[in-house]
Amino acid sequence: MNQISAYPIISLRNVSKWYGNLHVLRDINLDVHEGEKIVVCGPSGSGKSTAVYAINGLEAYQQGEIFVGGVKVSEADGTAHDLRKHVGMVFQQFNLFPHLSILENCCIGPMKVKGIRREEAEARAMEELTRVRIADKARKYPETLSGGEQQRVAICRALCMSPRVMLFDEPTSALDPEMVGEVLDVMTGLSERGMTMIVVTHEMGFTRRIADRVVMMESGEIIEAVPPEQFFDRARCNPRVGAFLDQIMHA
Amino acid sequence: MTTEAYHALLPPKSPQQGVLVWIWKNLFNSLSNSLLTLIVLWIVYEVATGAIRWAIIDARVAPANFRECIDAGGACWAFIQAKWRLILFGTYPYDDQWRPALALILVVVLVVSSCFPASWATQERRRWLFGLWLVGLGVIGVLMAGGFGLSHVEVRFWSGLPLTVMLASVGMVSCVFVSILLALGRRSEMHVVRWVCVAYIEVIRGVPLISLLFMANIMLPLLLPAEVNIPNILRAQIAFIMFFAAYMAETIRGGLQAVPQGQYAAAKAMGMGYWQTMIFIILPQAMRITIPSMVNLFIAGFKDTSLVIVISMLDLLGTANAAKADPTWLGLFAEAYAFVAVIYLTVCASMSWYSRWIERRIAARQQH
Amino acid sequence: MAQLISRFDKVGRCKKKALEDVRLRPVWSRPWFRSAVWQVLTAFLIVYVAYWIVANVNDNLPRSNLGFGLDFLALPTRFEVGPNYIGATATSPVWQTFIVGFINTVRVSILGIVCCTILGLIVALARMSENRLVSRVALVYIETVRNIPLLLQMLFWYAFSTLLPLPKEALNPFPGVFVTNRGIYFPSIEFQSLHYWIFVALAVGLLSASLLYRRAVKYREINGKSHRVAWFSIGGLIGVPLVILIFVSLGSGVDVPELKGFNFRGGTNITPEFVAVLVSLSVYQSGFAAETIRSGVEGVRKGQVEAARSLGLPLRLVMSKVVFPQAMRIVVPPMTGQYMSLTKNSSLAVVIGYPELVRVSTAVISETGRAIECITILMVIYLSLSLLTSSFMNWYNQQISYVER
Repeated sequence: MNQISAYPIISLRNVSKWYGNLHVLRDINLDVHEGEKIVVCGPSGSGKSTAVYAINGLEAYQQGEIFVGGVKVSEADGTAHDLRKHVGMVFQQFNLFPHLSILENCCIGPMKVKGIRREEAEARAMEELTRVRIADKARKYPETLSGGEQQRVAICRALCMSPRVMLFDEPTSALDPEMVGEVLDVMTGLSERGMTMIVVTHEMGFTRRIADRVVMMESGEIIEAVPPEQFFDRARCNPRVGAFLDQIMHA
Repeated sequence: MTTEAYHALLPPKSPQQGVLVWIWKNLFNSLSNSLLTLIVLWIVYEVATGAIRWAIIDARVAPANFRECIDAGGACWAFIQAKWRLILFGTYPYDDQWRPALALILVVVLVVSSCFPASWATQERRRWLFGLWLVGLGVIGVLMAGGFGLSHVEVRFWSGLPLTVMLASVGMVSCVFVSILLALGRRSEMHVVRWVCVAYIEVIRGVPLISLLFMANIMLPLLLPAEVNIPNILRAQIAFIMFFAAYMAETIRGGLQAVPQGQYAAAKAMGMGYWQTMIFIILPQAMRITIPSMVNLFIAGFKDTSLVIVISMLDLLGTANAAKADPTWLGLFAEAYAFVAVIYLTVCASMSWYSRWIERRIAARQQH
Repeated sequence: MAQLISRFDKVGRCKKKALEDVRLRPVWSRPWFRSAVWQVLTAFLIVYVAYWIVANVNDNLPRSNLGFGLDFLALPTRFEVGPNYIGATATSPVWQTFIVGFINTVRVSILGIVCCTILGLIVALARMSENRLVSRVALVYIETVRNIPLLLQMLFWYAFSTLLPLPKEALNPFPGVFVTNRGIYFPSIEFQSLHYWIFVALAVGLLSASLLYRRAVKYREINGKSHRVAWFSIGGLIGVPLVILIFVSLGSGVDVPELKGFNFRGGTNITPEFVAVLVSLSVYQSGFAAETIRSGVEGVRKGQVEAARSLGLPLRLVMSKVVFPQAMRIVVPPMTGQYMSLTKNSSLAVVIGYPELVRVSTAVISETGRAIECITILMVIYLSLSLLTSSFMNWYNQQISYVER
């Protein structure tokens, strides 16, 4: 279906993080190859969001190394800032800029960070917005859009930067149930175009459809990192995974 | 059932529901309430009749002589008639006083047009507004100082209401840039910068404005090389900017804290640097949040311009004080003070109303 | 450098696939370097500016023939500072005069704080009243008082006092109390260490009030009967000092002011400047205080009042047990800010000649010419008062903050 290269575009090596005395990430080791779709799941407080934020440099880590595209992510040396051009992020709370229109939201990144001209940026933005069927609202402001529409715009905004990797932090958790589907459709379409994706989510149906590997985290460590067939098969997989799946399915 | 049907079931309203009934129901509905109303009404009556008697009934607008004015016991509005130009424009050359008057009208027009939220809605309108301000300020400068055929009037002759307005507006606007830097510095991760900003803000907020005015007036000549001669008005302006920058910085810091963390994260995740994030994403949002507090600061600034009297500058209050010291009108003070008080009241109360209106508007928009 | 490129890159497998334009930055472009440079530059700038200023001062001072240092504090004052508690006159050293100014500032500030709080409370209650007339009148008061500059109000009250009659035709509202344009005179108890006894009486009163309060509360908790706890504490606070003072003053005479010549002799008096400063400060600040109190009370969520009423508590208890403690949390920080504002605003009294700290400083400056030292002393004193207040504020916030999980 999609080409997964042999080269890990993101690798986490023995990453540990403490919040004061709280050990939020314990010795995380993960390799993500280009074209691969990783879904990270786990109970709340397991550190999955923290791990994803650390890839981007939005969260600092005390021990270990994170390499994106072969370059170590380091805030003090400026590599984190340079790498963020190539790593797109979609947040749980959308975080659209309320004082800019939808079109301006999508254009401001390419224009200010990559120096792309306004016409080019707008053309690219309209292309992405049309693909998610929201182009007619390009001049409107975020507060007039529904949650699902805002999240779709957030995905477009991240895509307009032409990233190599997309990170998703629980993109559908803040949405009303009827809007979850439209956002998941967009993400599915994205995955079919071959984008490298790391998604933190509870949506198991979506996981089964698109994931190449499912990573489960609990209390800051990775318990399982296996393909979905193995993950959802009770017989072959870790009992803790089974307990977690029971909890989710009964929700 | 539908609203219309429900309304049809209600008994018809009595046609006498008028003012009297409302008064009865709201002001006299219990014993304690009635007592309170009566007491307050009595107080208001006494104050109002006293004021009206002083200001209107016993007042003399065109007395034959000064004695008659005093004997009547009321306000002597002839004083205002004689002195209003002195109070409003101070030492500005008498024949050219239409110039500061015109400048004041221009300022009012500029400020009022900037107050409508509609005028900062789109990027284009913001550019127009900015241009308008630049042109307006240029015209005001020419009107006040001279040039283009108008005679030259030195800065030290500017006094009265134009001086008050100028000190307040130039002070507040320059303050904004300094305060933004101070507020950002206070939140900075660079320790040296943060310490400097914190020290400045805490020291300035701990001392009264008068001490800063004295410091600027008396100490500045000592602290600077002897060749540098700073005019009086600039010293006062510097003291003002220094003082209000600290307070405004705290207000802006509150605004920066009120911008949701997710905005910082989203801008950062897109690869924006510190200054890009601040200028394009955070500050526009923070400034919108702090507008009501900024307006309140402006009101305080406008009132505090009256303090320049301690460094012998004649602002609106200073000219009123000087006017009443005229020996021909010995003993009259209430008329001058009332005149000036009305001016301050109008300006400050309307700004206060505006601040509340903006606050309500922001709250309403967040109801979404 | 080595640790920034992963081992994959060294092996060479992924050189082509690396993110093309991400390279290691040169050292001068890295955030940690830039941050260090900025900080060093800032520090250097501050030091340089300080050095430059000191150099200028050294140049300018000899020209104006003044020294530099605090020795002038021991010189005689050479001007009258007015009636005061420590008996300083024109021959006392300058530092004593500064103390007089400080005492005057504190005196008018504390009285102003008390008055403005009481006035503010009344106006706030009026503003929150359900009676629309009362509420509107309070609004008019607040807006008028807040929007007229304090200096104007001060000048007005000061000029107003000149309308008062001369001592010859003094107003006499109560026996022994005379209101003139030189001040308000009232009788005083001719007792040397009266002030000392006042403090003792107040301290004893506070102590007895708190003891009685504790006993009454304990009694109520054991027996379940309300013993009018409030009356006990008020009785202790006011009654005991009163008794003490009466005993103490029985033995001494009362000094009633009498008109001798052009002025009153005897008794104590308060100057028109003091009255003008006190009245204008209290009235001006009461507007702000009223708004602060109102926002505090309205900040207590309505659900709290509803819940308390549904429990059957009478309005009196709802207000004192539920609304007041929560309102205090919201109100105390800004109120402390108001009190500091009032203290700083007392400096405006320099314009009408009330001998508070700023007035004394300017007089000393004009006598001795030591501008820098005097203004620095002035600012240091105000700054200390501010810091004292904000540390009290922090302590208070810590005491009342909810322990959050």
